[in-house]
Formats: sequence, structure tokens, C-alpha cells
Amino acid sequence: MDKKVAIDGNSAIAEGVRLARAQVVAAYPITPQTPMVERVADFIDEGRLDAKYIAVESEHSALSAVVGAALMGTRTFTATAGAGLALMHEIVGVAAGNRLPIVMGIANRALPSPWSLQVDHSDTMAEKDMGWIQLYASNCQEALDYTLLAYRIGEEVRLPVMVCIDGFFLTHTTEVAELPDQEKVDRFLPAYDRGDVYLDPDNPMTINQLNSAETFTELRYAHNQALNEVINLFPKIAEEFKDIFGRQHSLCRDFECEDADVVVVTLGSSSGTARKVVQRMRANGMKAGALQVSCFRPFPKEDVIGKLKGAKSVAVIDRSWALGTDGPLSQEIKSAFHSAGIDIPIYNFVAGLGGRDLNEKTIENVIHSTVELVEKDEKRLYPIWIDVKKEVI
Amino acid sequence: MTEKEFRILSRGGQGAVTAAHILVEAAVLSDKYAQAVPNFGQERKGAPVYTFARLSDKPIESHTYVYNPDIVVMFDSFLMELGIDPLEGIGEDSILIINDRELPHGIRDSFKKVGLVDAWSITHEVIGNVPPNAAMLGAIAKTTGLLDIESIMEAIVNVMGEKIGQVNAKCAKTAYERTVVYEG
Repeated sequence: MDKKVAIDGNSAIAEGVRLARAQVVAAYPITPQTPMVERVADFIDEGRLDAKYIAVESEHSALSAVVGAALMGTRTFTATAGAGLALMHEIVGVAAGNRLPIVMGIANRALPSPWSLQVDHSDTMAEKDMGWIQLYASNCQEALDYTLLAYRIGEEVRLPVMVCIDGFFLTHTTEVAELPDQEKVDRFLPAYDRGDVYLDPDNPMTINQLNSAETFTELRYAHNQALNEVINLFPKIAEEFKDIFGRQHSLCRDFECEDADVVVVTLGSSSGTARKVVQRMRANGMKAGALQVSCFRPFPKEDVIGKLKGAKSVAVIDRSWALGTDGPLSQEIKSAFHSAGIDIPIYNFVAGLGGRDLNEKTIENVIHSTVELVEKDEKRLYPIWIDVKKEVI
Repeated sequence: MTEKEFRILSRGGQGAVTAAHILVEAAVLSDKYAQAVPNFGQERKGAPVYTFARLSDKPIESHTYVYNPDIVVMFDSFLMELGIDPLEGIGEDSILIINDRELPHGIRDSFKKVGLVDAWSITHEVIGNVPPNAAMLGAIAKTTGLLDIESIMEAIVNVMGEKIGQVNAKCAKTAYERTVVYEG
């Protein structure tokens, strides 16, 4: 039977990995991801997860080890955060290019420098174009559910998936969530099918060799098609998920967007906060809306446009750096709207960097600033850094 | 119950993060929703620690710190000497739970309700030289009435394990009985 539990984001992903029956795990601990891999290691030690844990000396080796294990045809897991993900960068491309359905838990942490232990999305945004699927959870239940969805979807299209949770605001935040029954998970996620191509010592072959210009483009093209296929696949698998577990998930989650004067668009844990702010503003007669982008890669352009097109204006909050240009989430939204030929005012805000609380007041400020800019018909080519303390500069 | 927000003021090593986790476990047992948000940094033993929690009948959407607490829990009134202000952000209906032998001067009038508990003495008496978090949970149950003491005791055992949990649950119960509530 499903069970309600008090669980933090790190443990939620670890429970997802246990329920998914991952077979090989390699990881290197780094704040704020450490409890995630410790929990998985505990499960293996306690005999609750029948997996091989490979202890490694760096993140580069951690991902390399699971790439090897995935090439042998096993269900794998690794996890990291911040600079650890940056150290993996080379192998991030290898994992995706070899079409390996690895699942990686990410405890989002700001990249240095300046050094920070705390959240922003600069680590995963630096890897956004490497051909992985990227999911961003807004609470601990989604962290667990997205881990199961990650295995199922990643294995169908044979691509790796990052399940991203905000450092501390999700990794170390305890909430009430439903821990699904193993039998249900087994029904949703059958045993891993390694397909026809895998490394077999009895039948040796080479995988991942040097490629010529004759085929490189075509392999990338096929990779891109597989990634974009997720847009069609996600809703179908989410429907199956709902039938089994009773919870609805989507590529992007809209809240009161239809007739909104301003919709605030977010990734990660601030999405729930935005919904709460919108609820209060609506009660006070202000027509606000909120859109959570759950799947950032592939970017669900049609869904996002569909859910935003009734809005009079859009405020995109990037919880990552926008050095020299717009933030990455804003670039996606503006590009989608421009391509679709829809002209509504879209403003980009940068907030919540390096662990600064992206709180209700900041989100209210974003919404009020957007209303003001629209009223004055003021254009902005560059983002607005909404929560900068001028006195510190 | 509308959403209630907690700000827990403590020092590193006093077990406030575990206490907040136990609050969430007690909410699960009471068929409620809750959230514990630790404010982690480069923490060390003895340094002031802020921990936040939320409790509600409905799922909790906010993932932020607490700025306007309905309930302030002060694990150590000496924190005031370090400039930690229990009055920060409170409203007319805010409640205080404080660990001390007597009420610090002038604090009573700032809160709608104050629960005073000598958590150090009770913890020493029931368990020994361990953090006062179980006693503080008993005082929270008594002062706020938001969670019953039985749920708190069961949650303590679930989180701490049978052996350590039972004695801590007893400590929470004792604190529940000895908390003095000033109201009106």
C-alpha cells in the first residue's frame, strides 16, 4: 500500500532509485547532494536495493563508471551538485551521445566563483544543451515521482535524465509525500530492457569510436529527434502514471493562467511559492497566474505557448545567471513566442542566486514591476535583477 | 486550520532541525500537512540556527523561509543577548514558546499567548545531558494545541527509533504537563 511519509528531497530521489530497482550506482558526495547518495548506499547495505555501489574518487569518475555500467546494459544512477556537475561535463556529453538512459539526481547548487553551498540553477543550465532530458521538481513528491518518470521516459527514448531539486529548499526540506507501493512501481516500470547493443565480454565490440563527418550530423540528428520525442511521450506516460499512482504530472504546470494580466514563469521550488502568491493576489482582485516549467529539456514550446497565450504579459524568473544577456528560461520563452508569431510583453527577472530566498515578496515585486512596465509600455532588452541590494554594491 | 508558520530559534547542536522533522512526522500521523525548512549555512555547534516549519490541513506550496511567524519557538533565551529578536516579524496573534525558568522581562505583552517551559531541567531530569528538543516539542503541543501530545510522542519514536525514542517521548510528555501557558 502507498504510505504517507515525512521525507526530504534527497531521500525522495533515493526512494525513487530504490523503487526503480537501479542495478549500478556510482557517486561522489558533494553538498547538498550528499544525503541523497548516502541514503542509496544505506539501501544497498541494508539489502533493500540489490545494486552494486562503486566508490569513486571524483564526479568525472562517477559518471564514467555509470556510463560503463549502462553500456553493459544495466539500470544506473548517479548524483551530484554544482561544481561536481561541472567536473562531469565531458562525460555528460558521452552519456547522452551514447544514448544511455542514466538517471542523475541533481541537488542544484551555484557554480563558483564566488563559492556557495546553496541553490541556483547555474550548474544544470551549464549542461542544458548536452542532449539530456532535464526535469525540475517543485516539491518532494515531484522529486520522487520525477525519478520514476525519468527511468521510464529515459529508457523509452534511450537518453539520460537529470532530476533537479533545489539545494536545501528541497534537498533538506522535509514534507509530507506519498511513498508508492513497490508492486505499483513494478507495474509502471518493468525490468530494464537493455536492447540489442551492449558490451558483452564474450562477444567483444567497440562502442563510442571516432566518427567521420559522413555520419556525425546524422547521429546528432537522431539524438535530437529522440530528445524531441519526449514532448509527445511525456503526456502519454504521465497518463499511465496517473492511472497507477493517482497523481497528475505534465511538461509544464499552469495555475490561473487563462485570463491573467501577468503570468510568472518559474523552475523548481519557487514554483509552489509563486502559486501561493497568485492565490493571494487573486483573492485581492489582481489577475495573476503562475506557470511551472517541469521539463526544461526538451523545451515544451507548444505547451508553454498554449498555456500562456491567454495572458496579457509574462514575467520569467531565472534563478541562474544571466551574464551578458537574458536568463536561459527567458530565452526559451521569448524564442518560442517569436517563432509562433505571438506578440505579448515578456520581461525577464533574475532572482534567488546563491541561496538567496526567492520568497513571496520577491515574486510579488516581479508581478508588480511587470504591471508597471506594461502600463508604461517600457521595453527591456536585458533582464531586471529584481532583488539586488544596492547598498552592498 | 489555516496554514501556521513557525520560526524556531536555537543554537547548533540543540536539535531544532530534528524537532522540525518530528513536527512533520506528527503531521503525517494526524493526517495533516507540514514542512520543515532548515536554514543551513556554514553552521557550527553553538552558533545561532534558524529553522522554519509550516503546518496546515492542505498541501503546502511555499518553499521559503518564514518572515511573519504565527509561532516563535525559542530554544534558548540567551540567544536574545546575541541580538536574536523573538519579536521580529510577529503579528497580533503570534504565540511564543520559550525555554527558561521564568519569563524574560517584558516579553509577555508582545504575544497573544506564551508557553514557558524549563526544557533544560526537564531534559536533565528525564534523560540526562542531551538536547532539549523533545521537551520543546511537548511545550509546542501544549501551548499551540495544533498537534496532540500522543502524535508528538509517536512521531518522536518513529524518527529517533524505539530505544532513544521512548525516553524522549516521555520527556516530551513531562514538558507537556509542566509547560505554563500565559494567555489573555
